[in-house]
Amino acid sequence: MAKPMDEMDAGELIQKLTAFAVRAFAMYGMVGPGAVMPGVGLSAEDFASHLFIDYLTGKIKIKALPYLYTALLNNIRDKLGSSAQKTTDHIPMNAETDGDGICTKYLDGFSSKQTPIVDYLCEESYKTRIRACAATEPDLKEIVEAVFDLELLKPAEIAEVLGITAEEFHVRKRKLGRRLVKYGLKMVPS
Amino acid sequence: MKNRKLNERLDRMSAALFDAPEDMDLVDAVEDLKTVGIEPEELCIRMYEKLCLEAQAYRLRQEYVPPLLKRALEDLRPSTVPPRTQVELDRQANSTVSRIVEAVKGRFNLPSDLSGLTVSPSFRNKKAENAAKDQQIIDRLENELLSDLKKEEKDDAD
Repeated sequence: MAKPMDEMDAGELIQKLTAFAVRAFAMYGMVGPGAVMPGVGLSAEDFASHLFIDYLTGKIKIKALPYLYTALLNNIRDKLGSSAQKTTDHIPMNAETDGDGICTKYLDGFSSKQTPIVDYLCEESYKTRIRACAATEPDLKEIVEAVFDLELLKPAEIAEVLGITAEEFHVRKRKLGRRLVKYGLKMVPS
Repeated sequence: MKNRKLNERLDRMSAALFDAPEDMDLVDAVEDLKTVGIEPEELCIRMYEKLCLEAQAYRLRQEYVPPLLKRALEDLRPSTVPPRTQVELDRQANSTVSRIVEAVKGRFNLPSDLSGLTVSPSFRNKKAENAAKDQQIIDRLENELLSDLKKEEKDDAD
């Protein structure tokens, strides 16, 4: 059981925040020593230290560790968005409309009520990259399949389906986390 | 909005696949940092230097340094820099001991059930080297060790 935030000293807190930023970076394929976000030039350590300073100087009012982790992840995602904005050419698409001028289909053929193709690709891409990360380790592959194919999210359910104890499941999760930090989620050619 | 929903969905899947960040202990964090070539000690020193600049900016503006920032500076003050006050010395010692205890605890996890724990009898069975008095001492020490472990386990549970 992790200890509460007010019992941590600053050294522990900055190490945990930086480790979390490192993991978030790995999720987006930025991995290894000296990894920086393209187009932004900030490292995982930079993100963690900016947030830490905001917390210490009172710019962040909520003193809860889960909140700091969420804020850190959001900062990384926001910057990734702006990084993509700077480096991507967007081609406008004309939406197909019905007689009332309401969008029915986009040029990609998907109904406007469906998940946009870009979002779909993002989720699919995420799943494909996680699968690739776990592909060579059968015990990790099982967890990934339970979450993606059986759509199980609760640890107890996943452990039961895999026929393992909660402790064993925790060990496997930690192993998957280590693989993620070490190799990152790389783009997988379709 | 769509991005937010997508992110929430991905977060739920990530939480099922990986450890929740709140559950990450210091030993795991240090291991992850070292994997990507970040030395925890050096990270703390770099952070300390950044915080010094931040505190200096407050002082130059003739403003009070926020208490959390002040405390973080005391926590992160490198051991190579001599403490300025007794309080700082105590805090530094406390922080060092906490880190050592945390690191040792992370490596030495006692089994949750100690009832089946037995002490190796190989030495006791060497009768030639073992007098009755020795046997009593060994039995007493064994009992003391087991009761200490049980007591520690009970304290941890409380």
